[in-house]
Amino acid sequence: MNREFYSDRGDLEISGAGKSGGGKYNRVEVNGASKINGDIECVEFEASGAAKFEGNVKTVSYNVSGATKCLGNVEADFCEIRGAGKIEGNLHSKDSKIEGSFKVGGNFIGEIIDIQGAAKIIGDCEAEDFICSGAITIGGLLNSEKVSIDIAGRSEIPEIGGKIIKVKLAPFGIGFLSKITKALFNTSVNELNCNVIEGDEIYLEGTEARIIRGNDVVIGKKCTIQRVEYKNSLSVDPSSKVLEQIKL
Amino acid sequence: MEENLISKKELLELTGISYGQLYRWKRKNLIPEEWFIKKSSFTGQETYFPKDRILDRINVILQMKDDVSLDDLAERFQGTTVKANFSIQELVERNIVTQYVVDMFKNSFRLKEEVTSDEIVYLSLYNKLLDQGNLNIDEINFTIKGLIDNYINIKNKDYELVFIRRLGVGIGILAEAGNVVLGDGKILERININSFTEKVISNLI
Repeated sequence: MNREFYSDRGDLEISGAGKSGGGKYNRVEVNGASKINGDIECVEFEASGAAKFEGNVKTVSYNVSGATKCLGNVEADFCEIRGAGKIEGNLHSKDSKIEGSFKVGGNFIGEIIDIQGAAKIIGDCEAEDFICSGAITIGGLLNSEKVSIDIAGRSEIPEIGGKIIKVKLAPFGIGFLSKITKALFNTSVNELNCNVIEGDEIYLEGTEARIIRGNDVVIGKKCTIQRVEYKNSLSVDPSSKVLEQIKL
Repeated sequence: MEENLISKKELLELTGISYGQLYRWKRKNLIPEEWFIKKSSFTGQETYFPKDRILDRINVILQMKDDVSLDDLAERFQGTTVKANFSIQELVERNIVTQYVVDMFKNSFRLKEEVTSDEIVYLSLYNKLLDQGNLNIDEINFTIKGLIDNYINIKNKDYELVFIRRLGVGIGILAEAGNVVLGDGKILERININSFTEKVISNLI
């Protein structure tokens, strides 16, 4: 990938049980049980193993795998996190691809977010395109223009807001994801738990929610909704329960 | 005095905007997070907004969104305009302030030929206070001075300018909106600085 490197910066490479302070670099590569105890500013950031970063990371690309842990915030243009990655602060990344079991202690803000596996975001999440396949827990609001969730495992998002919101039960065939979430969370309940979902076009399956508000709403199979307020159209699958249907 | 609130539902109905738009504008910081006020209602927790400010803001966004990108618009609402400076001549030509008001302002405050967007806010407020005729010229001068001196601290925060006269003594107060509790005394002016600034800046665009 074409990255602009700085002529006045070097690279940082640690492996094994190495330690380093922070600093400004072009390429940073951390492997094994290594530690960085300072803020890092760089162009390419790569880590694997049980690497631990005690400060913030500001980079163009953040590419990590294994049980990496960042105690601060991560700011990137592009990030790819595989395995059991943890970021205790906020994650700001335009383009994100997450695979595995992933945790953000603060907010996760980006443009394109693609999560496969199990994710836990303690704060809020914002995106233009939010795609998730697996089990997801968000502490606050999921605010994204497009939301597309394939549920495989118990998921919980108190508030979802956006334009086009689609929640589907992952096709039975994707046993792989269900097996991971079953193993991690000891649950085989495929369900999304929400308080409020508001959008223009909403399609839901396997969702338990208090209030749904939208223009065109389709309640698909296996949903339990207390109240739907719709502007234009509403259809409800016979296997689902909607206690109150209100046309505005 | 608690500000007038409007529910999210009423807001959408009144303005004709959709959830998608509202959430998008929230992401772009065109509608500040603080304006989303959660309150308990009989249906559970509902979201409310400060009525006048949100309606003003949405009006401006709807007017401007086809000409200006949402990101540029967001910058303007934070007080940093894309065009940093204007000339006084331009302001007078465009009828944003009159030459008379500019001259009066210059009697008490320094003003160069090129003014920043902050200075345009001061000038516009000066203009408004003169027009409304509730304060005398000395009161206007010390009120504007108070605003200028404290502007850095209150800029982009939700502050109100309140002017009271009690027993013949005029007092100007700059306080966080909704925090001013008034006893006796006549309120001569009550202006939300953010709302006012928005109107001024959107006029400039």
